[in-house]
Amino acid sequence: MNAKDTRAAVSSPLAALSKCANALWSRPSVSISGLFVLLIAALAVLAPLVAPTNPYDLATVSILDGRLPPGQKMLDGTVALLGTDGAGRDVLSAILWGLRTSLIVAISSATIALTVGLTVGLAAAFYGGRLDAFLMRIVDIQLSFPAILVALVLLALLGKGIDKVIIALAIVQWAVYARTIRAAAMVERRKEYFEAATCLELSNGRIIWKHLLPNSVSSLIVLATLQTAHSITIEATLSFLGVGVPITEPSLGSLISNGFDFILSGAYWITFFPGIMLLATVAAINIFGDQLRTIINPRLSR
Amino acid sequence: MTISNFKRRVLIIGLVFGILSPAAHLSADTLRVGLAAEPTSVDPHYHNLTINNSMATQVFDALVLQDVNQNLVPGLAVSWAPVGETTWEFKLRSGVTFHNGAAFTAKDVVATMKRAADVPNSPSSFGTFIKGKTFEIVDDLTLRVSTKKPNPFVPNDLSRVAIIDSAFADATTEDFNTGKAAFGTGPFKFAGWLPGDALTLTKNAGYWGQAVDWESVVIKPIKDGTTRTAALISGDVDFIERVAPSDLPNLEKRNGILVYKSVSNRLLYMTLHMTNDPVKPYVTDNSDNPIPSPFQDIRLRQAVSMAINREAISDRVMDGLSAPAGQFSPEGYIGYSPNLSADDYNPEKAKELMAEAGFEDGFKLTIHGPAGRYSNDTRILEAIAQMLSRVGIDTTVETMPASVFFKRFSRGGPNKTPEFTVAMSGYANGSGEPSHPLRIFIHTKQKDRGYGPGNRNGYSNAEVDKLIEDGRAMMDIAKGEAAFIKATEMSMQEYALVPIHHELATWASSDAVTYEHGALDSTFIHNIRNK
Amino acid sequence: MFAFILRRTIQSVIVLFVMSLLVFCMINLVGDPVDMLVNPESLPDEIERVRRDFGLDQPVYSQYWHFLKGALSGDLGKSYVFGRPALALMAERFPATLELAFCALIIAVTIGLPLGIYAGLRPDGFATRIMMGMSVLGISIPTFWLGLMMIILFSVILGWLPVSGRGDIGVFLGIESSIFTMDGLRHLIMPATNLALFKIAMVMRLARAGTSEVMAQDFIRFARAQGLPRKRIIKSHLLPNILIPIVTVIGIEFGTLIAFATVTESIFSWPGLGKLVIDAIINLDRPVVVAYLLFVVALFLTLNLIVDIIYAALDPRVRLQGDDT
Repeated sequence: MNAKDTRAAVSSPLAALSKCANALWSRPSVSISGLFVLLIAALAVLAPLVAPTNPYDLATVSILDGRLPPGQKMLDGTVALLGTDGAGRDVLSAILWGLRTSLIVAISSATIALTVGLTVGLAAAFYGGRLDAFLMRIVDIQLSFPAILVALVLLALLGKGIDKVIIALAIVQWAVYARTIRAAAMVERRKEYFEAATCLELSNGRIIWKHLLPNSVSSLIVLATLQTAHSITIEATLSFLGVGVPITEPSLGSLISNGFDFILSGAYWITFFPGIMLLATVAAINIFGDQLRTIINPRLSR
Repeated sequence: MTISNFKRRVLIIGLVFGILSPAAHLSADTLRVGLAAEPTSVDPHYHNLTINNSMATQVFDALVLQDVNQNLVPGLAVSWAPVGETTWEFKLRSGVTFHNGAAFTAKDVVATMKRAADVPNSPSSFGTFIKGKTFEIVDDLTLRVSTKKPNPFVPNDLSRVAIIDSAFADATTEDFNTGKAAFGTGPFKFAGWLPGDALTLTKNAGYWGQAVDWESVVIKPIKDGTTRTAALISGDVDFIERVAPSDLPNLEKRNGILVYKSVSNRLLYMTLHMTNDPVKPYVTDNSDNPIPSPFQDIRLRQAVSMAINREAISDRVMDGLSAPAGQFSPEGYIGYSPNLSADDYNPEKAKELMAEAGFEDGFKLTIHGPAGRYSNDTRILEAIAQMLSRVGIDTTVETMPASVFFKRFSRGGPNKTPEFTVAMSGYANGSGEPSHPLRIFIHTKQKDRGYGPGNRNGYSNAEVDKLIEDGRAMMDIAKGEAAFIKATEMSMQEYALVPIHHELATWASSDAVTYEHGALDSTFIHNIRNK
Repeated sequence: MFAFILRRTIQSVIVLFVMSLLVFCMINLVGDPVDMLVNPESLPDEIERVRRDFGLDQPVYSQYWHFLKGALSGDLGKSYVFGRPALALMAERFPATLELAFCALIIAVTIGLPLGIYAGLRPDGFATRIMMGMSVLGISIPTFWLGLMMIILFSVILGWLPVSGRGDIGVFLGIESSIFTMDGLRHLIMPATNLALFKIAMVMRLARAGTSEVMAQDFIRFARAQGLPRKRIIKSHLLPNILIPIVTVIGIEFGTLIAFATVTESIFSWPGLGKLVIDAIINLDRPVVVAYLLFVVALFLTLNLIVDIIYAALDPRVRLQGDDT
């Protein structure tokens, strides 16, 4: 191990974040992908205002409008630019509202999972010993539960709904964060600067905040992007198996899986356009995350 | 290029082509079938499950067989008739042998009944059809069956039990699965079963009826509908059942593929809670306070039925694979009444009826149903919710896996009462016995007498109950049927249930084979013929 | 080392016990298996008979006690649906899943690792950009959607590959597997690729991240300055350093490949464990679900243990707990 690693490049997670905020302005590639993510987020937030129709309002959706090809007029006169789905929802509106639902589910569940995982992972790595063994065995247990079973049980207990999906996804994911953070922190722990910091008798909180956390941020961001993408996909798969969000309020994922029934019969637009939106969203988040990672990583940004 | 390098390259190319070349067609004598489900056992008495029963008919025969429209036809019995108020006599077919060579006699029937009533660990036994019947051997080919009370449905019941060789009366379910005991008298012999992968049958050349066209049949379970269609198109299999509705137009257009359709007896219906007790949380006024079920009023039940556009569901959701229904049986079927038809779509009338009943401002409702149990179940619920919302019933849909749904549906509420106010479910008459749906769904719930186990909305009409009970005690089947039809008409006019549609059963095959189908949505492989 | 393994084994047994309790209680909250088993045309006493025969009329704790007694003698109960021991059902399906997961893993590593290293070495190359773009797509496409797309393209439109099921089984060195026959490979290639796709992207990203980090470090610069050939730097300096995180992930991923092959298996009708357990969950075949979950937990614990040991072997600085003496 080389000598320069004994110093941590950034001194706190806040500094790491502000550093990347600065870098946003200095790097065009980052600002472009960042802007794209912002645009998508804006679309999701503003969906009720931008979308031509409200696809979640059953009284205005009619199956008589079902499976219209792109550009056709619906019964109420609105032109369905991207066609309509099997239930007669305007696909464009459904995409915007579905994006909103998907992002709410993915971001909320990722935030909960990350918070729990971060706490558990850092505690395990920092205190080690029995606590570490105990926490990691819980992580092992959690990682071996298939998401479907967790969702099924939650459904039986709580009923169906977006909030339940969020809880289920958070429960499915927290352990992944915990394990990764612990692994990253363990690597840092073994480095000389850590021993130095311990020797200087810095407080535990300070060591975690100033040294462990900033140096674990890079793996965390890579993971968070992967997991956000992943949770959108899990949510879609859950819908595919009949336990996701309510059918009358489809997310991007459930739009895709519903639309798949119509692929062989030629109504490609029902699954194709939401698919493109999903890919674009996830890809944008991923690219943005990657760029951030390059900036934050102390060794790469040097 | 060195020689070893060259060899390696040839090998790789060979490998790639070997892997990628299309499947060579198997010999013409082998039929490959893709089914949506797989039997849970080869033991014909282990599990009373549709797929098990239809597989069992390939290898085994019952005394009485059901044809493709559920009419009773001679099987191992050539004739049957009542010989007293409580006794039936069956004349057995002579000269029939089991696949292991043993001759078939009345002794085998008695041994079968003894075994079938009590298979260890059975998840759903055939005891229902056997218990309460006494079997008496008159001679090798004559058998008498007596019951405590007059029972006109003895032949229907016996059509459900596959006859095995008495030598295997003590065989375990495992003995059947491995083939050690799987000897019947049916058109096919059992050849092997790899669970999850394939079940293989071979021809029984000495079958007493019409011999099958295939030397062997390989049956593969392919659960996903789109995958099943794809398997047929790509030539992996020659025949599939249950074509996904949305794949159908495409399949019908395709050269070299034949599609078969028929109205099945599988009914999709809604139950509307009809009593005051208890007040459920699934109906509220417009400011979210729970109210007693409005469906106690027949006008509201009728309004719901009229608000549902059954034609639109058939056309837009089912791709034409459903027929609007107004009763349990489809036309041409036992128990069908020509006086009943599906309600026409009439949203204006529905609104009027609601206003008359004091609900001109509508109310809020949550409807429940299973996901993935019936063809397009969730999409149908969604369509119904749209239609109800349009007449002013602000409707939310809640769907759940079948395993969760059925528990809540039958006893998820307080004191193990049915939980839902409005739920959608399905029904298909397995035995072809006309009183069955009336006994299960329409008769007032009387648990100890076996009446009304599926009556989940509290419907009760003493006159209808009497018709059902009387009909079930008449040895004259024609008279009994008249009583059942009357009971059906009365209960349907009161919306004891709101029927939605009968599903159309579908099959598809390559044009090298043909299939003789009827109303049942089961697949009978011996009816698949080589062209 | 021995003390470490012993300690972990004891911990694992405790985990398995807690897990069995948890799963047993959880699954008892969901639905009622009798609804899924008994044909609705049966008479009421039949429903009671089934409830009694399967011990479902007993309170949960006595059901659990019964299960635990059986489990200690290696009997995890009989499937409600098939009437056969859950373990026997799983043993029947396991080889199919194992070969699927194994092939997926091989595909993921052979494609993902070299591409990832390449991308890490040439972070600004044109090929790298394309590859990373593809990898983003790879992790963004839902598995079930891609699986169905593959079927449409390769089976329906092109007619090259069979749609579903497992092919003929061959025997090689006493091992029965479908990878030893042409027919078997033709059946395997699509589901394995489908299952591998997400992992390819994952391995690739890990390898790239590792490579770029390691390559920026001073000892590599030093080695370069010394004029060591590129191949040698990759082989003796880069690989050992990036392998640690990759081995960890692959180790855990192998478990997830097996545990979560459910979706791929249902789409391709692959007769493996995943399909068995999905059906068991749908039919509420509790003994099979419980046995499967315990199996998966045991598998994870074992894999984690192995990963930790390999970790120690690869990186001598990592000392195992309990090995401090």
